[in-house]
Amino acid sequence: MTEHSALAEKFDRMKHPFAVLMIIGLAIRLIIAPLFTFNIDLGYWAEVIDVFQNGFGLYGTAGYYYTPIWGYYLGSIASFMEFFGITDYGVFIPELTRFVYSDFSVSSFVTSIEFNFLVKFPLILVDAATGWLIYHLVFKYSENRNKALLAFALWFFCPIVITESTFHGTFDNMSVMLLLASIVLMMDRRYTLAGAAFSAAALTKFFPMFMIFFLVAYVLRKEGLDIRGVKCVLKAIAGAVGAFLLIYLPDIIRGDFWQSLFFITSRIGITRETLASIGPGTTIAIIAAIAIIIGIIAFVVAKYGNRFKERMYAMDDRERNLKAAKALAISAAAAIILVAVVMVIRALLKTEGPAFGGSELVLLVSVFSIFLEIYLAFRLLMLKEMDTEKVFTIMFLSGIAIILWTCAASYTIVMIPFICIYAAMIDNRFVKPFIIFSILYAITEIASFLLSPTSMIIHIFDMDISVILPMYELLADPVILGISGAMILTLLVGWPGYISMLYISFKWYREYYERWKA
Amino acid sequence: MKPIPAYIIIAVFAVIMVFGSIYVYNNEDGSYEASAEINGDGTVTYSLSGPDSVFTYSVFANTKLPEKLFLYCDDSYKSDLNDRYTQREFLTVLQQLLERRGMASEFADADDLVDIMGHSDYAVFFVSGALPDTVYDGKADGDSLFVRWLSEGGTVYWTGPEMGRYVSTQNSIIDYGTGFFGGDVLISDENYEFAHIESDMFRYTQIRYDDCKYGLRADRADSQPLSYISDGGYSSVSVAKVLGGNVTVFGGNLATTNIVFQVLLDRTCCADMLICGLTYESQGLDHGEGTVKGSLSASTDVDVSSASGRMFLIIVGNPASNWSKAMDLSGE
Repeated sequence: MTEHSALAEKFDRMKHPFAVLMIIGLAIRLIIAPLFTFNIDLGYWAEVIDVFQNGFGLYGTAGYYYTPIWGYYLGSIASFMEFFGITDYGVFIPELTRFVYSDFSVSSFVTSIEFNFLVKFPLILVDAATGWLIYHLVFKYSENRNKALLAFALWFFCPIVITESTFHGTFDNMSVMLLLASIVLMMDRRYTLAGAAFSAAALTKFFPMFMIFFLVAYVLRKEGLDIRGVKCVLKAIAGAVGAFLLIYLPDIIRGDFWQSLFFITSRIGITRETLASIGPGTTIAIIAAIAIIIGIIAFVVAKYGNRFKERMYAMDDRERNLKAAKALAISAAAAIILVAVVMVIRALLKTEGPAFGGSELVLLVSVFSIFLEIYLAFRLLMLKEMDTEKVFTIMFLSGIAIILWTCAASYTIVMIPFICIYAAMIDNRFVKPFIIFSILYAITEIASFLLSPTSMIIHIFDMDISVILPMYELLADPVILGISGAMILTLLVGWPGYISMLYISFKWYREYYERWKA
Repeated sequence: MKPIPAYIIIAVFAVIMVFGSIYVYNNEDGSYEASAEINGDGTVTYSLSGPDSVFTYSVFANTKLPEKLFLYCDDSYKSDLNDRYTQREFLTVLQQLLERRGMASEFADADDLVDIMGHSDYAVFFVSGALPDTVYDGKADGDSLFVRWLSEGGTVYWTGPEMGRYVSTQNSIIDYGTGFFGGDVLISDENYEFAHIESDMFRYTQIRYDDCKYGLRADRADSQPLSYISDGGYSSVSVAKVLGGNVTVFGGNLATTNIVFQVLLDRTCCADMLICGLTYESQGLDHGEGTVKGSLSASTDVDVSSASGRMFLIIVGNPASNWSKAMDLSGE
């Protein structure tokens, strides 16, 4: 472990470093938030509010595609605005509609300054709350204030984090906050609450689901691979189910549960029509199947867990890990081939389901990620000692394994806390690669940055859209071979970002794998 | 060291969720009330109450509301032009939007149309892109029930490929090459064609619907654009005199529109337009806007007493309307 001594000295000289960093980070965000906006989502959020203001709840008509948590958040914002008499959501600009269907999509609704601010302000607080959790976690397990401050600063001043909450107004950070809360509670043995927080995290955005293996393995490793450990996992599951029912109750009553999964199912080609046709019988059958599977796994682990552990421990570490890696690699390859074959058949038959195409490759990579997560969970489960460094290293690896594909900057948010924690707590040599990654990846949003003054131009300077329309034309209209300027720009700056993201895994592998194996 | 931050975060999160879910599901029945009456000096006094929101109002002349509105959807009839589920889903949502705005409507199938088209004061909304063979034979100048009904003053709301060009049967769609509008319809290979120039009536209608594929030429005789006009001169929403009837043409196809950001906006625009009974002869007389905070009562400035078929339309909300109400001021 190394110290980032220059930074540590700076922190030591500060009187209230956490407060100072917090205030500076908040100030930056609060200045930017009302003025600069990516209108793609903000315009959409305004329309979502219209959906429930028209009496359709969240899923009564097309227009809202996420799980309910973000809808409820927007409901809170709308009620706040209504309570304080804030009625100006923005203006519809028909000149922008023609860009909506370009490969660089925009919204034709340019939101008002107050709307921008009110939607983003709680998201900014979510950034701060997540930073607080990171600080708490690192401080608790390293007992080193400087490491905790460094982890907090890396998160709070990360350009991607600032971009997504403050410019973009999207809610990936909320999911990350809940995931971290779940980890903090789990490490503190508050399993029911940890399960509830995890459920809320995965229901906000799907990505935290990938870490379920890490969480279950952690509980079983800590409490034992026996009836005691199983009871603790079941407590967490009870918490998760409880939170799920509380969050979903209105939608279950209205029969909208399956519709609420459209955003996820659309990625594998399942339409709204199919979702609408799923009746109570199928739902009950699915719930029963899940309960039976969990029951069988719980029974097997409670009865044979210790025997399995002893058998594993009896093996040489290296041999055991290699066997597990081989078994999972074969399973992963089989699963990927199976999914790919299903995609091709369905594409040929043109039936509903995942079609084989460029973006569907993400699904195949995600299948690989799942097996990687299982392998990491296995390694955690097989730890002979609950060594903080090893646990946090596995947590870091589990975090970065969630996303291995090129994705929008907002999606990378889910892995960022784990890199920050690892870089600050375990190995400072990851600080620089992280900073490079966070800058390069934030730059992938360059096209949106260029258009981000639109709200300001329309609502503060009271100018016509024609002032910035040439920029829209430059970015959204096809330039070469039907590809928009924004897409070309993103491709140019996207690869360095993606490589810098992969480099973090590569660096860890290169520098530590030999030692880790030993 | 207790996980205090996690406790606080979960508590705050839970409060926001409860608060938000109550708000989301508490808008079921529409919570606005409005009334309007004409004063002795010809101006209009109107009142509006409900949650804080922006609103616009307009006074129209020469409006005519149909006695009944029917939404045509027949699953047994061929409709390759758009997805059947989408048609029904769109019409169901439209029905709810209209109900919230105080206008009743009923679903009708191909056989029902035969009876419906015996009443010239009824209106039918089509999203099928094709007329069923129970009422139309593919000849715009023929003697089908549909042609006769239109000639007697029937009202049609149409969206999709040119009205009258396609006829649907239970087995097929027949293309007759042209319909009721001839060369006045924008045919395009693109999925969407967008218009952005505000028409004269836009100020009054506030219809922010901008797809003009299949839209009518803005300068077509006996018609008027109600929303936007494209650079090429096509209208996204027009109401036209066809034979003796009123035909409102929405460009594109409202049922298949899936511009995520505009689906609801398009649909509410459609509902707001339907409730005020605009015809090709309608005129905008007055327009204003404001903000309601709890309740308000105000008067317009323009004397509208000499106009006939007066309708007062109030639209609440932005970008899509949350509620609207049309009030007949004609006293007829």
